[in-house]
Order: sequence, then structure tokens, then C-alpha cells
Amino acid sequence: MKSLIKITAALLVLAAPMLAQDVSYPAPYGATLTKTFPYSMIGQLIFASGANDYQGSGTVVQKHSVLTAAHNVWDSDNGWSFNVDFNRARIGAEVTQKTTASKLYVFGGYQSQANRYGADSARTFAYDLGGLRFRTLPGAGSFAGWKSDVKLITGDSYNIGLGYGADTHSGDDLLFVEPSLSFYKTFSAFYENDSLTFEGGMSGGPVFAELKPGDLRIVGVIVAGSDTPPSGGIRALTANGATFISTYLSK
Amino acid sequence: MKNSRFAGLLTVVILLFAVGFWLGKKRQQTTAGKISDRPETSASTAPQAKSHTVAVLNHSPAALLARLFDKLRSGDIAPGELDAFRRELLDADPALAIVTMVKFLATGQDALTGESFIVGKDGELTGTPTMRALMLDLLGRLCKQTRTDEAATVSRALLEKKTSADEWALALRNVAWSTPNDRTFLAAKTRELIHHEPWRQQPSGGYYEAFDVAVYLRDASFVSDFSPLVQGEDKNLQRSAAVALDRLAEMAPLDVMNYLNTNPAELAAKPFLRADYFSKADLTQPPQRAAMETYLARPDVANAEKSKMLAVLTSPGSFASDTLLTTPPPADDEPPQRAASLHQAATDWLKTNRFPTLTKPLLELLSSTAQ
Repeated sequence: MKSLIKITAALLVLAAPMLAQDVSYPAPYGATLTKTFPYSMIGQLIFASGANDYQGSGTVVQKHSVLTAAHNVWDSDNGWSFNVDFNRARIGAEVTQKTTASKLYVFGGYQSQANRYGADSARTFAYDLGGLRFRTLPGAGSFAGWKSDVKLITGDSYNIGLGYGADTHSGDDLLFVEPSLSFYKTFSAFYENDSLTFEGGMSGGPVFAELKPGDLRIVGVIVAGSDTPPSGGIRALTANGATFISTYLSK
Repeated sequence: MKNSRFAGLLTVVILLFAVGFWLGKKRQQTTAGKISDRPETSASTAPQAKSHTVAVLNHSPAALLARLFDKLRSGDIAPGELDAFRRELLDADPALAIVTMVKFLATGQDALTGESFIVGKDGELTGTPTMRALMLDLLGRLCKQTRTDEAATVSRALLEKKTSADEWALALRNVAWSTPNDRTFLAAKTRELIHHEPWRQQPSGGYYEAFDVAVYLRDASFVSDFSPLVQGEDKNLQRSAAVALDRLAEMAPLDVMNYLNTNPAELAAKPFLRADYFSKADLTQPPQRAAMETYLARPDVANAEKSKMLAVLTSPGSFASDTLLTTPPPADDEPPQRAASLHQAATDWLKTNRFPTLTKPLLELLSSTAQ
């Protein structure tokens, strides 16, 4: 019996670092893939909020529209962000295309989850979708596809999250992260994954699912991340999120 | 002789058996026939059970309501049952349903539903936390269809007592649907709700959603009601009040700008939010352009705030959601006249050097509206 306990303990000691190694951290995606569709539809957002400039990410989802996270677009201290520039397929100093938003949308009203549960609550992020509209074509006429189906993040589908992380990276290169586990529902449309982390600046970036080989669709938007414990949170494209996109980001 | 009598007796017995067997077989066939008349059932006992259930279930609004109330009180409600109840009651005879709901609300009885206060399309709730809130929602919706005033009558009476913020939100919506011009009453009751301390300390979903009544009324004097909330400690209220002010400024830009110009202390502690409320201006309208010029000339407003306002003019923002009374923002692009009017105003102001400290943001405005 004692030897069994010893063996089990030894296995656990061995398994701990293996489990830790299962967590995927953001890493550069490389110039070639950054310029390959649909990843080439992802861009870095630079915007002013109050007296400061910030950075986030977004994806072209229609000819004139970009999907992002709401907190890139508005906050209750400084109001609407302004001078919102979208640097698509940026690699270091090289920007494939730069456009400036002409209209901003937040999906939410008086009683969004941020109201009800506080800024740090997981529930805060459940309604965290934002949209940008442009007079010029931010994707040069192309755009990434999306799909509203949470099974694509909770099942066995291949997922990848991308964005311009600026915590331990420069913020000027597209980063990617691939979970080894499925996402799980935390509250409403907010889903988490403990096998990955997101970096600040990736907020608003897409989570893709592969429907069939080569067919990648946006199924969620990166909205939260934590290093300890490692975890990443996304706003899944549920039915109401799909309605938001098809109403306000349909051009 | 004995043999013949025995043979006769045997014949009678056989005949009796034969008749009995035939009758028995016939009864079995009849039973089988009855089962086969109901092809949708598979068990032989099902037809009886089914006909029994159909006979007992009463689908009148009163019976529906009583059954739901019992289930809610006992906590024996299955997923989807509340939605089914909503559909059934809305499909019932409206006059009967209205009378039933009015009667129920008069009893003062209540039960929790387990749902949150969720506003759906056209101000109709898709989630109601209590049975009474559910009744108030459905009553308002039915009376809106029938163009009768039962919901408004019940709601006005309810607004005389501080029942709950959720009930008040629905009562305000019902009154607004029934008598949209009763602005004084609606404004007074909305203020009562906002300032009722117990509700403000622990805001419910309905408390937040009721802010939409102020937006619906396009009443700029509500700035002074929301302003303390925006500048308060409670982050949740801050956010909700800021959203309400943003939507109010979008609905009534001139009134809000004039109110803020004549009450310069309002939102002075939240300069970048205040800037947003001026950025809704439509400069094709001379009074709105005049209000903006007054703002840009104000010495108490910092250049950083004014610069932000000028920047946001070219990329305005909107909140997209379902609300109790107002309609969601349009998904259309900004009309070209708006950009043209911004360009013209920037040109005029730069030409006359009207706002010398704002030359840089005005040049940027000029540049971004050039096309």
C-alpha cells in the first residue's frame, strides 16, 4: 500500500510540470501566416481614450466593418474612444493597410453585465462586443467569416486565438495561441479556457474554429486573460451576438 | 338413453364454450380496435390516461395562471415552462386574460421565477424575476394590442406605492405605452424611482432599465439626476447613468447641449464624458451649431475636453441594445450632410480664428471631413 502511494505521489510530481506545460502562451505567428487569409483580416487597434492612447485588436467581418471588444470602444470614465486606427496585418513596422473608424458601436445597454457584476467579474465580459465601421474598406474588400455556434468552442473543433499582444511582446506583431482543451461556459456568453492565456492588447482579437479543413470562422472575441492561474476568456458569438453583427456590422 | 342424454349435455357444454370463446375473441378485437384508433399512442393504457388528462386540463387564463403560480410556489417548474406560459396567455382570449391578470395583481401575491429582468425586442420582457413582474409585462403587452387601459390603470395605482423597482419599471412602460403624452407624471415617477434610496443602494435589473423612460421623454433636465450617479462611487451606477446620458444626448442633442451650457457645473468632474454629449450635434441645424459654439467658447472647459469632442464628431458612438421604450440606434451610415456640415463649420471657425486655442484639432477635423 505504501509503495502504491509512493508511486502515485511520484506520478503526480511528474505530471505537475507536464500539466503546466499544457498551457499555451501567446507566440508570434510569423510574417507569412499574418499575411495569409483569414489571418490577414486581423489588425491592431490604436485608439485614444481620455488623455491616453491604448492598443487592442479586431477583425474585418464585412467590407466596411470590424468586430472587436466593447472595452476598446467605450468606458464609463472616458466615454467613447477616438482616433481609432485599424492597422491590418501589421508585422513590426510594416502595416499592410491603415484605416480610421468613422462609427463605433457597443453591444449593450443600461444593464449590461458590467453594471450588474462589477468590472472584475467574469460576468462583466459576457456582453463585451464592440463594432467599428469605416468609410473606406479596412480589408480591401475582403473579410473573415463568422459563425454563431458555441459547440465549435466547447467540442472537439480546432480553435486558435489571435491578437496583437503588448505585455511581453512589442504589440506590433500578430500573436497566436492554441488551446489543448475545450472552452467551458462561465456565465451567459462568457467562456473560459484554462489551457491558454491571452496577453493585454489581444483584446478584441478573434477566436477561430475550423469547420472543415481550411474553413476557419470567427466564433468568439478575446475579452479577458489571466496568468495566475492561467486562463483566457472569450465572448462567444451566441445568437444575440450574431444579431448584433448582422444588424450593425453588415456592410 | 343415458348415452344420448350425456351426448346432448356434452353438445350444450361445447356450444356454450364455443359461444363464450367467440364472444371473448370479439371483445378482444373491439379493445384492439379502440387502441388502433389512436395511432399516436403506443401503450395500451395510454388512451385512457390521455383522454383523462384532456378532460381535466383547463386552458382558461385563470387556470393557466393558477397552475403556474402553484408551480412557482412549489419550485416545481421545468425549463421552458415560463416561456410556454407566456405564449399560451398571449394567445388566449385577450379580454379574459386581462381580467385574470388584473385580478391576480390585486391579490398582492407573488413568487420568484428564477429569471433575470431581461428586455427583448420592442420593450417586451424575455425574462421577469417575479410572477407579478411577469403579469405586469404581459398585461401591458396585451393592452397595447387591444388598445384598452387596464394596464395603465393598474400601473398608475402601483406607482403610488414603492413595491419594487422592477414593477415600477414595467408600470412606467405601461403608462407610457397607454398615455405617451403624460410627460409630467412619467418624469415625476421616474425621478422618484431613481432617487429612492433603498432601490439605489441595491439596484435591480428594472431599476437600470427604467433609465430609458428619461431617454424616451427626451427630457434634458434628467442630466441633473444622472450626473451625481455618473460621478458617484458605485461603478455599476456610473456606467448605467453614463449610458443613459449618452442615449439622451443622442435623442435630444440640442436640449442636452443647452442644459449643459446653462449648468456648467454638471459633469465638470467627467470632462471626457461631457465632451461626448456635445459630439451628438447635427451642425446642419443652426441652433445646434450655436450651442456647440457656446461650448467651444466656454472658459471653464479645458482644451483637452474640447479637442476630444471635436475628434469624436467624426466617429460618433452608439449603444446597441433592446430597451423598454426607445428604439435601438439606426444601423445606417452617417448622412453625407453631417460630414459636410462639420467641414463647413471647421472651415468657418479657422477662417475667422474664432477658437484660437483649438487650431490643431480643428485642422484635424477639417482633414478628416475633407472627403
